[in-house]
Amino acid sequence: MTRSAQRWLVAIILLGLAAPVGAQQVGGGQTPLWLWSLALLACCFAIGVVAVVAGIGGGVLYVPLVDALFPFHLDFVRGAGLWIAVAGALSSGPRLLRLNLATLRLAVPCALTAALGSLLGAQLGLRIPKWLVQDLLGVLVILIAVVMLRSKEREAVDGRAVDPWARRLQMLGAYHDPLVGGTVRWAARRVRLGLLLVFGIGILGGVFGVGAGWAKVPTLALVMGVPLKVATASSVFLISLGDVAGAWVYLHQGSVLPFMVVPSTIGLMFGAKVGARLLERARPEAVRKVVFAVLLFAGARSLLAGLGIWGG
Amino acid sequence: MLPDPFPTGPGIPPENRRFARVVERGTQLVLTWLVVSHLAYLAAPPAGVAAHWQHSHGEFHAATGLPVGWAQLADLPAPGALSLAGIALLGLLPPLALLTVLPLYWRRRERLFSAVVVTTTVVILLAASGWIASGH
Repeated sequence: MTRSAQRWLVAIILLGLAAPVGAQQVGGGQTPLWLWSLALLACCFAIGVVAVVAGIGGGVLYVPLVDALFPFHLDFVRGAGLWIAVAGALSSGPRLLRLNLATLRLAVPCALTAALGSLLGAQLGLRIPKWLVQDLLGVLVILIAVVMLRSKEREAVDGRAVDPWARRLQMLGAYHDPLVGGTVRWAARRVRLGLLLVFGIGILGGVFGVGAGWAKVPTLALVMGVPLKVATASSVFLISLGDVAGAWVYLHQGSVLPFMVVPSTIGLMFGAKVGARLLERARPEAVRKVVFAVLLFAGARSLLAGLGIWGG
Repeated sequence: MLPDPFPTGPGIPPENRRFARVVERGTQLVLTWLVVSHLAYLAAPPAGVAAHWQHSHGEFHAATGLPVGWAQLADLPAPGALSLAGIALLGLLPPLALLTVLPLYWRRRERLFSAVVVTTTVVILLAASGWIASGH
């Protein structure tokens, strides 16, 4: 990452963290709604930038950070988290479909088990005490931070025969890869195991109000043997088709504040566009360290809040 | 040897194109709706709601007396209900897009995949109806 891009990234992160604190200070307990709305917009803009540069979904940053920095109960934060994940996935999905990177052939069967998991997770999540959700979320986010710091991009491509379920459901495709200089053909493997894992990930997403792309991409790529680009793009579709089921549960339980969802969605979308531009000049190692620090802060804060040590 | 990845001919499958078109137009419409309704909400915010944000969803609704689920739309055209209607429309886009591609699979006699599309749509619509959230 160039020095100026690095400065921009740090400035955007500071803006995102400072906005809610500033709103609270300015209002002195009587903060007007428009100021909270602006603070949400700024914070989510920063989350959108960081999420794209780091290659992670916004939800895993959104839920612990907004829970830490804003006066909303975790129920509403998780409800908003799922809806903004769905909105983001719906707005970026069409382009990925037209590039032939995302495919309904892969996404729809996975979405069915993801939707069932998300439904179950959302029902569970709204029955678990807040402190326990915060603790579990804190541990999960810290684990993701550590895995992200240590991991290297890998793909599982092997020469085994095509899974019979992949053949029946036509879970296969091809796309043009300029890096390879030709067409890459692929077919899903270990379909039943993959669908089972996606069901489990759906439960996690429903409980914590996150899209859980950090778990879906490795499942599609490493377990089902789908090329990383297709796995990343199709995981976006899994969010829009699968996690929407859990998002509806939060809405019907009264855990969705439209006041939160709208500025959060707009902030994240603009942030994602700026993040995509920064990404062109990004050096993965530098980005990885910055995101590790943000995730560590968000995870530690959530864990400490659950333990009653810091806020709550 | 991998099977033919282009059962419907080379290029982008027609179902991908149709799904993309429905979602793209729908999302643009809904996002515009959300921005307008949010501005209307900020112009005339409901009194006292912000004081209960830090409460759980159950305590929040007990304190504010606000309805949950589809009952919130009874307040239309209040700005809060308008925003919620926008969010609801967003959540109906995925099943709607799935229903528009279903005939393409059915016409190609892909019964198994059609069944998967129908089941996924039904699951999302059941969640949207509020039937599952109400504890059935």
